[in-house]
Amino acid sequence: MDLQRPILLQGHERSLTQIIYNKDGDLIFSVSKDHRINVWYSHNGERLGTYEGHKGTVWTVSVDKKSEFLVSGSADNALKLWSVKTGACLYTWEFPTAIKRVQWSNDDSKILAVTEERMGYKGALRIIEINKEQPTQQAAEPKHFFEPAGSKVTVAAFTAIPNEIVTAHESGKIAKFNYEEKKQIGENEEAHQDSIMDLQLSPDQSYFITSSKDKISRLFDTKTLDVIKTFSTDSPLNSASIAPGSHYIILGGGQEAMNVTTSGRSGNFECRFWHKVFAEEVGRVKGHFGPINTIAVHPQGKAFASGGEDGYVRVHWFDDSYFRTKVYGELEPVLD
Amino acid sequence: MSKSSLNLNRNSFNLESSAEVDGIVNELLNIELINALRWSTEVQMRREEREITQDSLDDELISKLKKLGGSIGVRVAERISQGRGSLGNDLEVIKLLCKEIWTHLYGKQLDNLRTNHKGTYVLYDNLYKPLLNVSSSEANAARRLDIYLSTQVGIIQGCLSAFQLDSQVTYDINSLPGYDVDETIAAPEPEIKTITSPDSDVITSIEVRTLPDGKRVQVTRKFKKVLKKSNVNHSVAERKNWPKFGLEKGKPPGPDRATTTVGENVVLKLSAGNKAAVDEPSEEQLMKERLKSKKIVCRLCKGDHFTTKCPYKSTLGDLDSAQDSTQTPDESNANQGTATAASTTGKYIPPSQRAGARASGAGPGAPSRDEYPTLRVTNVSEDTHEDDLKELFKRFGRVQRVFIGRDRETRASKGFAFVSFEMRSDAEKALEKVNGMGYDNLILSVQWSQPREK
Repeated sequence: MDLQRPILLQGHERSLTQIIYNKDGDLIFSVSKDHRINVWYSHNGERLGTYEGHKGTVWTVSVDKKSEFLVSGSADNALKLWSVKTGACLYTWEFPTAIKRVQWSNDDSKILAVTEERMGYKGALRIIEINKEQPTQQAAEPKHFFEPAGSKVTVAAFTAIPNEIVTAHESGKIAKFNYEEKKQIGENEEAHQDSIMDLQLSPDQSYFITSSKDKISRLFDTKTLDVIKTFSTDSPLNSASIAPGSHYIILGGGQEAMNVTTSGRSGNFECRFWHKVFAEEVGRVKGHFGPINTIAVHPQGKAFASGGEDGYVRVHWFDDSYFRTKVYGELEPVLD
Repeated sequence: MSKSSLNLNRNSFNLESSAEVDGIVNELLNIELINALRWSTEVQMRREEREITQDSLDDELISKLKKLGGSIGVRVAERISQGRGSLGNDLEVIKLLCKEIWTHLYGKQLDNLRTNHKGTYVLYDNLYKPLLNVSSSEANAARRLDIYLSTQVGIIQGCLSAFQLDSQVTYDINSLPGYDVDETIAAPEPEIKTITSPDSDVITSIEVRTLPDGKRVQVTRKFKKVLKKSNVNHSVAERKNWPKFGLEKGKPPGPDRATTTVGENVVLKLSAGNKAAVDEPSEEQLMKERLKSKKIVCRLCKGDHFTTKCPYKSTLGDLDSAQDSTQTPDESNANQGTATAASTTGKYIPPSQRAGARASGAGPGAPSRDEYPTLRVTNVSEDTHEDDLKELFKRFGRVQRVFIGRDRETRASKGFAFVSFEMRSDAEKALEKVNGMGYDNLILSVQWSQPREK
């Protein structure tokens, strides 16, 4: 079975940090260490524009459901709100440390920002209300601010339940917080053995996938934080994504960039497809020259994009045979 | 065709230089150098407050180019004539110039050489590369040629001066490349034909190019055009017509090849079962596969790998495990058996091992010194002490005695030693393993010791 020839997006000069699709799947936003945010048409890889203004590595980006507003967090301690259409920066928040992860809430009224633990500041979570009527007039202070005790938060996401966010930590723990009451409402200390690099929710947000440096990716139940499935690989994982419309999850990683030149073997720079239910690897996609830092799947599961340490984004569209193939034959569960 | 002949007169002088040139650099010189030098010359003349006219500038430029060419020529000639010894006469020098140096500079030999045997040589080149890109149809071509050829003249002068020949070089051009002379030389435009058939989606484009050396190259590209239609919601359709912004501002619609390319075909084989099991063979395995036909024997463990890759090389302690893993008990028994069985197989057996040897010895009771199975170890480093060898060999079994041959006066090691074991099987093992082993920067050689002459 073939994939179509991938589209290579070469708009970045340094390694990718995050890629996201918008809700309709027609736009891809990519951010990298070269201070730039790019937006691309996903169907042909044409670059629609760039968002210029950050002065440091852009760690994270998130777009609202209508594809009107974009938020981005950077190592220059700035969180910026952009107009998706014009590329204009509408508002800038300044925080004491770098912003590692941002996300729009489900109702597009708030954003979540995770800041780095550095220079005496603890890693913090901020919830900021966004004024969409007058985008250039925003509250400078976040609505909610709290600093979770213990190991720092690396990634976080809103869940379907109001006031609730799920967090992943450097120690390998995952937890749930109620940001209104600023308290932890659940945790799983044994989720991973090492720093969690990525956390992506399933389309219905009932479960989520994590990937960690301990070479393991796991599916967790959002309600109970129990492990549903474990995917154990042979290299550190930087990103994991659930592919809607199929039974697969896509994992990406590879040995750490700093170790690439010192270890002779090829670095396993492949996107690995695992079967979600049988928890077995079913395929691999080659292409990157360096570790894969981020993976995003088209919201309808028609394509996926991977961004690597090599500075390339590779967009693969699946063909019909991908959806027809039943790897496990009769055993395959029926999709909704 | 461009024909140029160069007349050379000889005298003798010397030129000092420091430059280097290769074939391709020479071609680039004419393109880049002249403009750069013209500019710097102009600046210099202005600084010296000299009158600047087109002619005076050109003359200054030509003399500079000649000097530069001269220094290049000396270098080239020195490089080519290196290790060739002195050349007999002028003709030899000119021949060298025609063949080796010309090939080095222009990638071809000279086409013809004439002389009046009084010091004048006429060299003909029918396809003189530096002139290939000069067109006769342009205005004041002759003047431009003076400039273009001055470097080349300088190079030839420099070459000759390297052989202690002073020379005067002039040139005469029969014809320049141009449209009116020969079409193939005048950098023809590639012809591109695009064939689109309405029935199929395949677009064929045929490009015919003529290379400077007259070869015709035809490149055929086939594209398959697939129109993909999809229904999208209103907002997506609207977004498709957004104007570009940021770095892309003002760019035409459609993917820009600077940022968007199509990668190589990627295969995704979806199949059950763990991919780790059918992982690609490692480099080491591939190397092994490649060397399968060749015989590689490790000096340490006799395995089929390089000694440096030997898993047992790092520590001597590993020798113990080596003998267990590489030699099964069956084998070692078989080795012991050889002592008795060998005489029938015709294989050489050291006398000490022969069946009769033991019987003819001192008889039962405490065996004499010679009775112990003894190994003769040679190529032992001078620093090696008896204890070191004992340490090395006791891993194979109980060592009865270690003797290092020493100089009677200085007590310095002579580089050989005898090691006696109590058990023959241990000695055999040691022989097997230690023979060829690296020890203190030397490779040990171990044989059975010959019994002393009676």
